[in-house]
Amino acid sequence: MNDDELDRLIRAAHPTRTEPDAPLTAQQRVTLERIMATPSNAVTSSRRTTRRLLIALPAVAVVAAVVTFVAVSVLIPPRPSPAAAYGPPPLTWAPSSKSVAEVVAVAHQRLASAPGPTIALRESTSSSWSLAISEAGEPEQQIAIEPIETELTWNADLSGRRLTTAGKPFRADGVTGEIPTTDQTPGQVLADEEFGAGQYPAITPDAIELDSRGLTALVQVYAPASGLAGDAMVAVEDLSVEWTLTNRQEGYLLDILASYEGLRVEGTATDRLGRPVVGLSAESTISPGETFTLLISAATGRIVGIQVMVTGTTAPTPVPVGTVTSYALWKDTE
Amino acid sequence: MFVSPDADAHTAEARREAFSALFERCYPRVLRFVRGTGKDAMEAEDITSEVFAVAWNKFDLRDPIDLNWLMGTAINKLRDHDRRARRRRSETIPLSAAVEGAPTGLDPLDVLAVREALAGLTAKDRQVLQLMVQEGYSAHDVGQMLRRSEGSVWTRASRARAQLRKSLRIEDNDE
Amino acid sequence: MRMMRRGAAIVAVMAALLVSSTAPAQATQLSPEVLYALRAEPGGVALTPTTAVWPALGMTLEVQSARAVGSCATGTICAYSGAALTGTRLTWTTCGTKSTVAISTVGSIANARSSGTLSARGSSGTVYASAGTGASANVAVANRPLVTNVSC
Repeated sequence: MNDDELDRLIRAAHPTRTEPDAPLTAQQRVTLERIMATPSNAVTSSRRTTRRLLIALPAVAVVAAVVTFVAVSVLIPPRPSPAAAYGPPPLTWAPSSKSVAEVVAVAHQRLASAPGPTIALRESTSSSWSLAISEAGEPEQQIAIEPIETELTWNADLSGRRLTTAGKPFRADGVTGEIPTTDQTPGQVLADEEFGAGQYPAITPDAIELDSRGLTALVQVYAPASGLAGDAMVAVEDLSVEWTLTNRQEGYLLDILASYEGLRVEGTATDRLGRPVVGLSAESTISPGETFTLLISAATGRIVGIQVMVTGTTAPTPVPVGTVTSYALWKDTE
Repeated sequence: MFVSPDADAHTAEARREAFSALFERCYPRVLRFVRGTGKDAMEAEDITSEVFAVAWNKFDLRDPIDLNWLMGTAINKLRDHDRRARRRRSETIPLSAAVEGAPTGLDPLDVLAVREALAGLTAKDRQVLQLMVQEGYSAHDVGQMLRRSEGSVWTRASRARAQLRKSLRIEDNDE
Repeated sequence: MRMMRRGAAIVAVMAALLVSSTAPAQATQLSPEVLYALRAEPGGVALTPTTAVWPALGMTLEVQSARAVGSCATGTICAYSGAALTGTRLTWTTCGTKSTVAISTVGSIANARSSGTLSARGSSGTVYASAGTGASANVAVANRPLVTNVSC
């Protein structure tokens, strides 16, 4: 059989008869409209500039009027109001000379002697914050970052409880000083969900038996072997948000992460709960333009937090590069 | 320094028109290719729409997107998607679907055999045959889509055909 | 309708016995859920049109028309880039088909409205996750980048 005949067979094996130049179906036209209805990075920036400039004009006029008025009275300089930002100030990293392997080795040492559960527990306590995007598709700027505290406990039968309360707010501009009043008071219950049997939507219903091989297989669902470590970090987040793993399992996860590409040591810092941590960062393939940073407790070696920051213009979220769009911090055992 | 609202609206309109034209011309082609990799109709539409959503996000009138870029993006998406999907046999197409696609005159079992043989190729070899033989793109265009030289595309195509012949136990007669 | 168990007692709500219990004078103001529970389980007292207590059982009934789900405020629907309501959050106050293109992935959705089902869908309408009223749902890892809109 020559190439032509073989090619005919290959063409016959195509699973669909759709012509390459078929006209669009009604459904496809709807898809087109839907895609074009969303503001894209290419256009949004110029529109946003226009809006900001238009808003600036009236303010200038107002300031001029105020200045004229106070000229006759004693000028009391106004207290500088906090600047609004899309997200919290990024963590301040002190550079570290350690390699990823060294960071992981030190973590293993800590994990060996740190307290921790004997089996994985179906519970997790987090302090987290995320960027909110309004109905109009605009990211919301804040002068105060109001984290939320989540206490989740659940059972093998998927019953459980998730209590969400308001955390302590802090200024978005990172300046120490008066914290602006917020809508919520710290400790205020925002949501109290009780799940009957079968109702809690577990991401990973059973992590108890997961050993090194099991965790590797789990992480590979999120990130193919030798892919980017950022994708693997999502697996760690999905586990940490529901489970309190054993120190041994934490150690396995660190080893698994270290086997992925692109993992680098960010440095050491104090996290937003005041705990000393080491940061490991990486990009991901499914979330372009974002950098994921995992926080490892300097005290116990456990993975105690994650942060997502927009670091490239390919991120679809319309915020400036350098914006932290979410973070989550989990309870340490010490 | 103002950007006049009129100019802004004008550009936005031109952008929509150009993108719509690209979509109309290329969506069915990308869809056909994605479908050809074994994805079912709905999944193929989702993945294809995703490719165009990415295209819209980076669509710039000064730097037009072409079909080769779209196909290259689709290939990347498929690779990422397949890696992430839970373990399932890739290219498993139920026999009824195989029968549906078969042109008259060909035994459905033969068609299935070819599909299985295609599934046994490496991803890159299979893509080259899909794009060159099933979708009919030139080696030059395929090179652009796969970011490889035209020469390497030719080499890969002939190697893939040889492998296919071996799998199907066909003799290579230069008739 | 939500029952909060303060005591250890497990309440077995009996099949509807339309026994008039110690119902307060303004019975017509009570919500249907409270009325039903008072009839089904003797010994209860309505405190407000939407709350009732059974002191001997240590049980309280609170009827809420809509409740918050995690960080998704009452009366809204939300889509999150991560699972379990983590990551960048999109919020809407009305139902309809809402584009999620502002985030690369949709890992979970929350429905804090009092009616309807919220679905996370791909462009051609494939449903990847569904959340009923007052509930949340996660999207399987492989499907998170395929979600382009949520709909209710």
